Amino acid sequence: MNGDEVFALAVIFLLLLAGLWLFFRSILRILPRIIWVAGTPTSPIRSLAIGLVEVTGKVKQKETIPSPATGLECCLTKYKLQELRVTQTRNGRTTSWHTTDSGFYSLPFYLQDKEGAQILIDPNDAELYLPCETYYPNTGLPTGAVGSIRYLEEAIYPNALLYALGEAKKKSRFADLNDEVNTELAILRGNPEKMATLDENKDGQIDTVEWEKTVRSAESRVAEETIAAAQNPLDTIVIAKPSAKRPFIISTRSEKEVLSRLRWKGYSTMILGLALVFFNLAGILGFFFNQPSFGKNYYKMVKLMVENIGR
Amino acid sequence: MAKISPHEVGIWLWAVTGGLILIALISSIISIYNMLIMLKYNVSKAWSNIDVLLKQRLDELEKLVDVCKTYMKYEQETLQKVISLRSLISNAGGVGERLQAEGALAGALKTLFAVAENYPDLKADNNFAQLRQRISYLENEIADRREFYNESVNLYNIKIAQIPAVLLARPLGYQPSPLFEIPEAERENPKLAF
Repeated sequence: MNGDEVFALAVIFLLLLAGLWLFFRSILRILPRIIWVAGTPTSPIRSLAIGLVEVTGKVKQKETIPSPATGLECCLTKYKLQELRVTQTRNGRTTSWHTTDSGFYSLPFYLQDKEGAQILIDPNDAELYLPCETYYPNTGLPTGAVGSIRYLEEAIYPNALLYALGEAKKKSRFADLNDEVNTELAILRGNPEKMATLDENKDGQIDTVEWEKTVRSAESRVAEETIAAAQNPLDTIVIAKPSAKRPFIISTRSEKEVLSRLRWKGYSTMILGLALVFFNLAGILGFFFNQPSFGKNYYKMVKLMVENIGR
Repeated sequence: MAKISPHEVGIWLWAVTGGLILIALISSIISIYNMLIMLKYNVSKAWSNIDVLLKQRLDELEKLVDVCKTYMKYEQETLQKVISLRSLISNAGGVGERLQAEGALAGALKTLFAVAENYPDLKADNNFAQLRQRISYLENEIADRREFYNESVNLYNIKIAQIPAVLLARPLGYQPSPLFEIPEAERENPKLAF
């Protein structure tokens, strides 16, 4: 066996493993999600029970962060900043988008259903099924020119229609208080104008005493808000990642759309996995036993591609 | 390399692929079965959540009828209707029969409270006011949970009638569950004679 033959065989073997991985992923991961989404009834928020719940409604912000892509206030953003660059290939020069920066920021937000009842959602560790939007910031360069930039963003903005499937659980009071204080301080740290107001002695720095004072004031504000909020039982509940092996899905698409996309993804992954296993197994058999003939041809095709790449 | 016939190679290839297709088929059947179980238990859970409130309402109803009897001597028909519906619920055989009676009771209660407006002494009674408040609260809670129950039943009923789930649901004896509806006659506002 020469080097190209070994490499072609390795590629076929990897494709076979990828096929098996796709096949079992569709069965073990996507299929159960289809069952959870299709089988969980939508709960009115007012009569929400503890456990796995499905809710729909409008996003109402608790705190917001500015989206790097649009500059608008949002509750969650997952973005990529890309730049159009020239790259050298075998066939000459070509342009392609290169990611120069990426990030993910999320904050808890409220979901308000059609009856006006609200529930807190903590999107940490959620599977996000959000549409990816492209934004071209004004850089003075025409769109498509080398050096121009774009943002690819999946985000949740206030008032967006939202679908969520997760576990409704009682908020852990002390952990929650600390989380809220930390969130408030993180937002403060990200805002230079607000930070400047903390500098009481105007020495251009926030010293330990000034920062301690800010932390104490944030703690007492959060504690007061928590006591006030506890008047409403729904404010003591949060929808978050389930503790058991259950899904936590958040989407700005409707339940029907989420379900049809999951089904499409599940069945296409399964068929693709099966096809990969079939052809690559045939390729391996074709290499070792010269049978079946289409397997032998498949192996030759992969070998040809490997040789072309190597040149 | 060991000699192997083209026939044997073909068997190997189809055995592996067929095995995977079989796994996919079995997984699909298991998924459908699991979904039916989940939907069935969702309906049971939603019903249990309502049942607790319905039982509490029945308990309060007994006290309410006792209070009303003292004042509403001329409204025996209304009271009798509530009493008979209450006993019908207590002795109901299945969920369907029970739900029908519960719906009728909700309407009868509406009439009872409307008629009570004609009895100032009854309205002024502290016990009556408290019971009325408690029953109204329970009614609202039941209404909220009824929506969730009906949603669960709807999902279940649709699924057991759909292909391919019906192929599994029929042999397993899955029957449609009744919805919790308010009878048409009970939805109308009660007519009062002044």
